[in-house]
Amino acid sequence: MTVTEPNMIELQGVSKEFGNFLALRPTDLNVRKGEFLTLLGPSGSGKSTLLNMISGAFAASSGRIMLNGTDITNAPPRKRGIGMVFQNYALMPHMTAFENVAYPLKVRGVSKADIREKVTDALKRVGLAGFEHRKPKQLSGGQQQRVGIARCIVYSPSIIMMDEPLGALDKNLREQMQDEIKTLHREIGTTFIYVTHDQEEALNMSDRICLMNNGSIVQLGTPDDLYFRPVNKFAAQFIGESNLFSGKFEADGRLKLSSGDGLALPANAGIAVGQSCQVMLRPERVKAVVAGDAPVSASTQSASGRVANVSFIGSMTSLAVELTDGTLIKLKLTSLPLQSRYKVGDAIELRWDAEDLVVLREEA
Amino acid sequence: MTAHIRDGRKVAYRWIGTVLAIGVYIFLLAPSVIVIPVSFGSQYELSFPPRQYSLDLYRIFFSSDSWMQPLFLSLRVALMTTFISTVIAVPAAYAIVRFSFIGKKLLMALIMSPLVIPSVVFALGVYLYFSYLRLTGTTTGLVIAHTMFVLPYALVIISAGIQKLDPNLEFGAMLMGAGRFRMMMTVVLPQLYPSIGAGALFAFLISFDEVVISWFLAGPTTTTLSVKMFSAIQWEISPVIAAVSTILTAISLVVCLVNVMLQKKTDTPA
Amino acid sequence: MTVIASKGAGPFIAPAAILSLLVALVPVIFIFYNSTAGGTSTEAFTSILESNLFLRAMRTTVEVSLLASLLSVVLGYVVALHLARQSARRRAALMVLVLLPFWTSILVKSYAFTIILGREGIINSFLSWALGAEVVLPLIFNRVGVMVGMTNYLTPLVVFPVLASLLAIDPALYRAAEIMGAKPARIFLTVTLPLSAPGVLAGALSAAVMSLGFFIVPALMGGKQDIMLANLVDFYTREVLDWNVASAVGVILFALVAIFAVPAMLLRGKQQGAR
Repeated sequence: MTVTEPNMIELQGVSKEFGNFLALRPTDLNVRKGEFLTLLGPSGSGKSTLLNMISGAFAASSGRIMLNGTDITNAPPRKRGIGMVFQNYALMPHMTAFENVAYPLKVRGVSKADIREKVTDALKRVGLAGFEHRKPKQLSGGQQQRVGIARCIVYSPSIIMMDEPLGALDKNLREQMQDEIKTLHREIGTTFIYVTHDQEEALNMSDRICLMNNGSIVQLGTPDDLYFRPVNKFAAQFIGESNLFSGKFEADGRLKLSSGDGLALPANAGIAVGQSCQVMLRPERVKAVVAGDAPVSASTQSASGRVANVSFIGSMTSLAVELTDGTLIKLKLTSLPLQSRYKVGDAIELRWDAEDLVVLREEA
Repeated sequence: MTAHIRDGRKVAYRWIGTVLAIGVYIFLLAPSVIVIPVSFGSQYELSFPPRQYSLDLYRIFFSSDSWMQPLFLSLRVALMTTFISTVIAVPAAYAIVRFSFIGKKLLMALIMSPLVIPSVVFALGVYLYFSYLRLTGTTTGLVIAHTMFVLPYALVIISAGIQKLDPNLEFGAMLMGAGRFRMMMTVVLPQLYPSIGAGALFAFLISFDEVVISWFLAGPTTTTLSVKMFSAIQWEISPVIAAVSTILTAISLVVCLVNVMLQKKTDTPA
Repeated sequence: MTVIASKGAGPFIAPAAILSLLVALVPVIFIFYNSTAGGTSTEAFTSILESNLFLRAMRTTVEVSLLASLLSVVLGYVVALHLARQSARRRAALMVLVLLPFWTSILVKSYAFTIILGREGIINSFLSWALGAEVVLPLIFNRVGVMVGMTNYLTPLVVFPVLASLLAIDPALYRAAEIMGAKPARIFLTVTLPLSAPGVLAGALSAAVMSLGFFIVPALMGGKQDIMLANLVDFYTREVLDWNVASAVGVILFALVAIFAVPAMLLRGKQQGAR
């Protein structure tokens, strides 16, 4: 990631209170020019509050919001020149697709000929050429949201914000539109701020993800950072699946678990001896040992146990294994047909690499 | 709300809108309110604000037969109308909400017609018809005509109440062996009291305030309060009318508050 | 609509059906019967169509109704817009300001307006005091009085449907329009106004239906020139004692109202169907 890219949005100590409720703690956040940033978090995490303050739906309780170097903290929405795509589309029901997309241009006093050209172009770009004269009610959910996107790109706003734009669509369509939006971002190069509570959507689409919880930022980083290097338990559990172990770090470089033997921590863990901490291991990094497997390397750890539960969920089969010391561990294997799949009660030997253990920070 | 960004242009429009709205509120309320101080004035002159306050006008109203007889007639007619129209409207509303039957739309249009037909036309029709039946100038005639007149209002309010009930409860009661009548009495009615109460209250006020039909049907012994008031305003602007008006406004206020409470209930979905 | 059964409605609906057949349908038949003297003559109609009194009342009725409906739509819209922008709790409280006039007897209002608008009424007294000279504006027992009284009566009727249609507008539309750069006036003209049009139309039609049949207000607040068709029905029934002519006027009034009532009903049916 290049550091020289200027910031499109800078939030400086921005917070929001509703009465006594602190919806957003004082937050700093920089959004780089041209990047696709996703605000990810459960409902009530403050992600929509953040978005709404950037869009100007309501005023920040404290702090400053800079857009492209200009202070817009107290500017009304119409003066910000931002584009927004809404979850429920927010299309004007009394206007055709064409009129909806033409609206922001009419507001800007663009000439009729230019409007026709730009609107036609925008609708073509979202794959809706020929739907100009349909009213929103005559369009499917996906088509309506495409109109919503066309209405946004047609006036080339400095940033485009999307507030759970695919939330009302079914799964297949959602995945298809994710790719369309990604492609669109690549083509037009505008800064995107995307809000979702769907972690897969965030991982798939974003340059960077800003994970939020309880009104503050938990972790800001690339999808890889968030998946492979979550900073705390919340991040580890919100994104992907995880095995969590907690215990005390001992002088031999092992984590003494509250139950059972202990796990060796990677060399760079940087934890003081005697300190208690939590570590995470992704289930798909755990392997089941099969006869004839390569010999154990220095950082490889192993444990044996019995299969306690099997869930066949298509391409993957997830197992819950009870180790001999009583610890439960989850793992994910590529699915095999029933006769060769593990069954409850089967003995199993597991292996993982100590480098795959991620030390988690205490939550604030 | 301070949560919104201050937009000078928006604030200005809001301000203009509020000022205009206050103007209209005053225009709407003025006639209902102005009669109150006047009613506490003197019996010899009609002035606003009154030079001295007294209860003279109320004393005159309550002690003169020419006002008391119409008052009691109106009360009698309104109470009977309320009772009969409610008894008719509850099962009818139930049938309309829960059943489909041949000619339902046509019948609905007929029952609702007093809402649309000018009351003068309805009054004339009833007058001609009742003249033929020799019912003009009788209390019975007034009650029958009023019952038809208020029925659509009662029906609309009670139907709205039934629409909010869960039909599965009724279906369940009948599965358990209750006949339709028992089901109606034990399942539907107990849930429906607020709507029935509101419908009855509205029916009472509409009958009590009704002028045009009563004006056509009234005879020498069947002058309702509204008819008496109508001719009194036409022929002599007596200050006593202010006292009557204040009493009517007080009743309207009660009905209005019930109406507000009813709207609040429907605003917040369960 | 939940339908439990389609049979057995009879006993429930019978009383209402009988009452409305006998007391709503039969009277209308009586009027039509009388207006043609039993289907034998059109004399009543030809005589009123030649009468200046009728023609003037007809013109007054249409003029006053249209103007009063228009005025009450404007005033009602102002109030509905104000109510729509309040929080639910404040709106419920402010509704009293519309519902109290709505439930106030038309007689009380007419009487109150004679106190307010009369020769020595509140407005004239105030103006005389403020200007230091005797002011006697003719505000009642003329067209002005009729307009004031009717508009006052009709405005609450307009507020309800307009408010309902304003509240049905998705607030996200306003946000979207704002973000796209629209100024408040444009948002009002391109979002609020077109989307509340069905409510305005419903309000206007019901105001027109109500006002065409107005009887009390012209009688108590109008002058001799402001007689409307409803007053003419009364006049022919009680003064002239010509029931045929009275019925003929009633039939014409009935037809006039139908012009507005039929679209109003279709509109309501359409709105309910769309939901």
